[in-house]
Order: sequence, then C-alpha cells, then structure tokens
Amino acid sequence: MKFAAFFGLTGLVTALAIVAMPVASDAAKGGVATGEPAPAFTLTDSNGIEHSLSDFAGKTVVLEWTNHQCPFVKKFYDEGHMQGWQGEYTAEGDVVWLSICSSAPGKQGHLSANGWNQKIQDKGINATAVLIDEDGTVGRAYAAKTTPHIYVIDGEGTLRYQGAIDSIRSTKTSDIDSATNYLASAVDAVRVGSEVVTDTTTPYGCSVKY
Amino acid sequence: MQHGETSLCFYAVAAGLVLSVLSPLSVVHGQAVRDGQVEAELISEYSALVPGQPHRLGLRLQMDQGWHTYWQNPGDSGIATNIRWDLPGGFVACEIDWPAPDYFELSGLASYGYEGEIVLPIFVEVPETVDAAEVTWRATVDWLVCKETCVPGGAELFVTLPVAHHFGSLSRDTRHADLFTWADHRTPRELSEGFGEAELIGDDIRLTVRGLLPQGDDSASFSARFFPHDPQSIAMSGEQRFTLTDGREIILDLPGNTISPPPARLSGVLVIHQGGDLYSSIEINLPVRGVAASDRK
Repeated sequence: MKFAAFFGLTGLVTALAIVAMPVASDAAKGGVATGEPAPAFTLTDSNGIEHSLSDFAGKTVVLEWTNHQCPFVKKFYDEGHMQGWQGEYTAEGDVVWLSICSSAPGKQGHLSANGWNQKIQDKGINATAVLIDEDGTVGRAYAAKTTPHIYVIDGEGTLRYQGAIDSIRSTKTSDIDSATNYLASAVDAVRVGSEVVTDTTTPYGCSVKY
Repeated sequence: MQHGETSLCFYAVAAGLVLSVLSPLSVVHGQAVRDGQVEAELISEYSALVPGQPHRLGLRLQMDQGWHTYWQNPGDSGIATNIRWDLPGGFVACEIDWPAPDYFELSGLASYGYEGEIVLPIFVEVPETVDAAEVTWRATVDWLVCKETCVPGGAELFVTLPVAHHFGSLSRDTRHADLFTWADHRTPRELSEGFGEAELIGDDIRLTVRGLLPQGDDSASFSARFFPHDPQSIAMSGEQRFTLTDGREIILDLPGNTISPPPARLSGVLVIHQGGDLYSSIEINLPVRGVAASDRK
C-alpha cells in the first residue's frame, strides 16, 4: 500500500458553488442504467476549483461517494486501503478519481472546504479531487445511496460500473483482502477497453446524508 | 458475512410439546450484553431442549429509542444482523426466520428493519441422543444500528439449556413468550396458489393479491407495503400506491428501479397494516407478466 503525496490540493479556497446541475428530486428516481451516458455535472472541489465530467473526456473516471464519519468509509480509510487505490490508479494520469461528499450542512460527514483540506492532509487522501455536493444534486442524479457508493465512467462518458466497492458487506477492515474488489475489476477492465464483467451491484454502507 | 454452519431448514412452530425437564433445578440461562445502542441476548422459547426435537431460540435485540437494526434485505443502506454459531457436534443452526420488517425513510432512502425490543427466531436441529444434562450454545452476533448515523456493534453470546429426557410438561419460558408471539405474528404466510399476480405496467410493477382481507372490515384503515428480497428488483424507497377494491383485492403499484431492468419474478414480503398495527404479512414469489425475455435479469 503506498501513500503518494496528495494531488495539488494546496490552492486557494474559494466559496463553494455548484454551477451546472442535473435536475432530479429524489435519490430513488435519479440514476441511470449501466451502459448509458453518465449524468453530466460540475462541482467545486475543496480548493475552490470547478470540475466537470466533460473535462475528463478520454480518461477513466472513478466517482466515490464518501462520508468520513461513516463506519463503512472508515473501513477503507483507517488502514490506507482507499488512499492506496487512489494513488495507484491516478499515478499514470489516465484515471481520474473524484471523491464526492453529498452530506448536507449539519449532517454527518459534512465538512467545509477548509475542513476537507485538513482531512485530506490528515488521512493522506490521494483522490484527484474531493468534490463538495452539499445540496445533493449530483448524488441524486446518480442515485447515490450509500457511502461508499462507486461509479466508473469510461473515456466516452458512458457509465460502466455502479454499486458496491467490494463483495463483503461489513464494516471490518480485516474483510477487505478476502473480498472481490468490484471497483478494481471495473477500473482495470475500463482502462484496457474490456467489458466489465460485474457491471452493477447493490451498494452497501451508510445512507447518504442528504 | 457468511453464515458459517447455518443451514436452511423449515420447521413449523411447535405447539403443545408434552415433555418434562429431568432436573427441576436446572434452568435456561444466558446473559444479556450491551454494545452501544443495543442490548443483545440469546433466549429460548422452551425451558429445556429435547433430543431429536428442533429447538427454537431467539436473538433478542433491544434498541435504544429511535435506533433501528436491519432486516435480511436492509434497504438502500445498512446491513442485516448476522449470527455465527459455535455449537457442539451434532447440533445445526438454521437460518433466521426473519419477522416482517418495518419501513423507515430518511432523505428519500429506505431502511428495512426493526425498532424497540424484538426477537429474531432461529431453529436449532438437536441430535437424537444428547449425553449431557445441559448444553451450551454460543454465537457471535454482528449488527449495524442506525438512527441518523450508523454504528456497527456486536456481542459474544451464549445460552445454556437443560436437556429433558422424560415426558411431562415442558414449559414455555414466560419471560420471553410475548417476544416469540410478536415474531410469530410477523412470520410471513404463504400466498395460496392463484391468489396473486404481478404485472409490469410502464416502469412500475403492479402487485395484486386476493383473499387476504375478510369482507366487511373497514377499508380505510388498511395500508400495505411490499419489501423486496432482491434490492435491485424495485425502487425500495418512496410511495407504493395502494388501492383496495370492492372485491377486497389489494393493488400495490411498486415504482421500478431506474438502474436495472425489471425482474422476471417479484419476490419479497407484503406487509399489511390496519391502523398502526401489523395485520398480516405474506411471502410473495410471482412471475412478472409483461417483462420481455430480453429485458429479464
């Protein structure tokens, strides 16, 4: 497991604003089937920088819904598993990893931009960026239900995987090594242009705190 | 989580067992364990076990006010309570006979589970011969308990049971009788052949069932919710439009899942409430008409 330095997250923190929003009212009604175009979005990261899905055309994009206080998220961060995957996959530049927090202000897992930058430093988070979705618009557009909830999008903007991070539905870090890692299987397949064998699973975790 | 040595086995609830406890001094004992927001205990329906007779235990869970643990399909988030057994040779624990769950919704996401004090019943197969005055069964239990936030918890539990060898009157343990009665009331009944249909209508699945409600009951007081076994078969949260026809047919329109094709079969538990109380629950396993073969999962 390696802990690469985090990616350029030392910039200026500006006000957070979502500029372009897909329209959806309810997490249950949003979402698209795997194989369909992934919903477009623009969100601001913890450094005040805007990111649109369309910015990453040609790259494999991982969306990871997160809530740093959720025990299912801690399972993957406490001993560096998630940070390791983030570092490994983004190292060659063809994979973009966006951690998205849809916790509403006042709800579990919500952090200010400053709070996120501190958390990125403390935890050694290696995501390309942490995107703040505090009104839940993007979460609902993807029907993100749990933390973690994983989406993998190919270079054409097609959703190629959605669901659980792995196969053992627990909060125990000790289960990670014996689980089937759906995230890794999907990213590995999309990177080399192969079919994702298991392309939709039921996510597990805490509910997203909309 | 795997279920270890548990097996699927089906037993009717024993009624009127007439056997006696060998030693009147020996009693069932175990210990309640608290972890966080939950107190857990293994309890026994009867005061002793009888060789060759399946014996019903319960995992009693007492959740703090406002907290819930989860059903076998936890809903949009959460995790089912899990039991790993450590039993002496010859004893085999069956799967949990899940009582019908309640519905909780937070920010548009569904949770299927239980609040308050509940019991999850489990039958244990008992060998024909037991060469001991008492036996101890142990279990490691894991749960997730949530209110707005979620906390994983667990306990190492045991229950020691006297072994009865003589016929007489084996008593139901009065301390826990109400909890087993609660669970029995929530055990889904089978739907009689020909009394239900499921049909794809647009993106929704229409579930129609007959013969569950007696004539003359106050229609206005009934409501129903379907809890799927397969999390991807329908959208688990949100309104399920309920209609009760003059012919006492229950019609429930279940919103489709936006990310998966419709299921070839609809499988789950239909829970009917009258007023605030659970009236009955029915196991549903029906083919879904109108799902094209090419669409089937």
